Amino acid sequence: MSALTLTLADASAGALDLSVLTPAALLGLKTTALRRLRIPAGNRQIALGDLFEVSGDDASCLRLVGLHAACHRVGRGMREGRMEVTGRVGDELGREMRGGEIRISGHAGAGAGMGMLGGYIQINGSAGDALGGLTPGATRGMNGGVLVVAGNAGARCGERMRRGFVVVGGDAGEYLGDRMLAGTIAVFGRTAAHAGFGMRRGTLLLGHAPQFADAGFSDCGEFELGIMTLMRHYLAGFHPGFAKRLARFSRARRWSGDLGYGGKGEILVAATI
Amino acid sequence: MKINGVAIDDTFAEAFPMKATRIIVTARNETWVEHAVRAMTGFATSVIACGCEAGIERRLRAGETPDGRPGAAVLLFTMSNKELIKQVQNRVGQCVLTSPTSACFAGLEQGDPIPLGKNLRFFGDGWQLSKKLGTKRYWRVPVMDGEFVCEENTRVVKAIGGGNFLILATDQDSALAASERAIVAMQKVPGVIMPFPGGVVRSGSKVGSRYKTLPASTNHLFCPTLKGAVKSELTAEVGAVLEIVIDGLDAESISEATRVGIVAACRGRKHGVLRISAGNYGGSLGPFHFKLRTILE
Repeated sequence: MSALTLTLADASAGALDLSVLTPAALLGLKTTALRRLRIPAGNRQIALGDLFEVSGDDASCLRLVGLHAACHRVGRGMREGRMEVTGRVGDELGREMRGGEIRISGHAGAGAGMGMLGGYIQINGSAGDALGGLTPGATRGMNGGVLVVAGNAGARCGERMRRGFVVVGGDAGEYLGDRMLAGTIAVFGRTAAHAGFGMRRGTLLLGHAPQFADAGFSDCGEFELGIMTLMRHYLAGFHPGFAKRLARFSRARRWSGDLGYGGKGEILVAATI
Repeated sequence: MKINGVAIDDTFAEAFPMKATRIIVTARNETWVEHAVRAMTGFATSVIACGCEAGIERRLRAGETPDGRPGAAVLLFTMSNKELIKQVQNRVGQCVLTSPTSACFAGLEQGDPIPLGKNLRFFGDGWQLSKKLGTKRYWRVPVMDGEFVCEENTRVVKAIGGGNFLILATDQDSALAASERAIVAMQKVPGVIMPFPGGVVRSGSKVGSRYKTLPASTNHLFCPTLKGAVKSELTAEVGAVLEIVIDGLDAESISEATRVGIVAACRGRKHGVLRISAGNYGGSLGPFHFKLRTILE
């Protein structure tokens, strides 16, 4: 058995909704049935066989090759299995994902991991706005799982986040952890304005001190916090490289806030950069 | 059966079902780990009057603990879940939370959850913070030296208490030296504790007494000073008897601890050990029977 590999052969089909392509949905499907699967493409539906070249037969490990920025909702609602994507993807990668893992070699569009409940997403490029954010109409954002972005993240990363762990290797846009309820977001690069605005609980780990223009945070001093080792060990189970980089937070300056919203959140700024 | 000239009685240790949990305590260095776990396992030799039986299972290197600091694994045994919940809360609350730089974690992955930091968090008076990582929730309670980090729950498993063997020697020194050798060997066995002082008990008991209010009393048949006064279990040359009581997470651990303990007690020349026996109540009280000769075969 080899991994089921779908190589996008027709890139001219426009925007594709690939939410149907999850390991659980494809498991047990014969090749003919697989080729007949209807893929929403704009206002049409196209048979999978007309879009992708199919090889391999083990759908528990699904490989998607040659995707582009108009391939949306990859891994939506995924519950189990493994998905490897070569190329970049469009919006809503791993939306409402519950389990399993998705690894992407390139960039992801907006809303990656929005409403995520569990599992692991690794984006080796950058991610757009609303990483780990809210699904339309929801009151809570990401509610579990681990999301790792090697590059940069756009605005409103972790908006209304309730639980889970987000790691951004590069920079993050404005309103990082906006109105966050709980959970953890680590950003090793720089952050734009309004980091932690309206934060009720949760932790922002920042490699560089943000500009506290909102004045909603108060400086509590510099500490060695035992919880950091636990976070490092936890992340090591997903991404050992970033777990190692968390060591820089073993001593951190703690800012508590947002004081206008209960003040039980915290921003930990690495003391050693 | 004889081991190094020591007679092994054809008898068995009678043990009882208990509830147990393993808790991992860490601190900045070994000294403060020791302070915390010594306090936590103090006054915990017997459920008869201490509420629980507790002991240090083993010391843990920094790489073996959840937070990467030196630590120790502690086992606590009680007769019921309810009592275990109470003992864990009191002992962790009064002895670990109070100990500088300490942190506390569950040491078992299986079993029913009972509160560890779940209730202790209220000491934070509203300033406590929760951090859920995967399936585990940790509480961060602000204290005067920083934060006390404590896992929300620990796990309870079915366990066994009251495994034992008796060392019958020519004199007190020989019995004590043999007991010390046994304890050193038994402490290397995972999943067991020997809850009495130094792992050794001299006041072996029997069920009941001649006093209405006393449910247990001295095992007079094994007291050398009563040899002439009662129908003693001891021969004339026995001058001292010491007992090692073993609580374990399973029967295999207790059997292994019993085996290595007896072998160590009988080791050496001129050891002065005459017999190895075990305490039981005729087999009618405890469902677990550890037959000495079967274990040593």
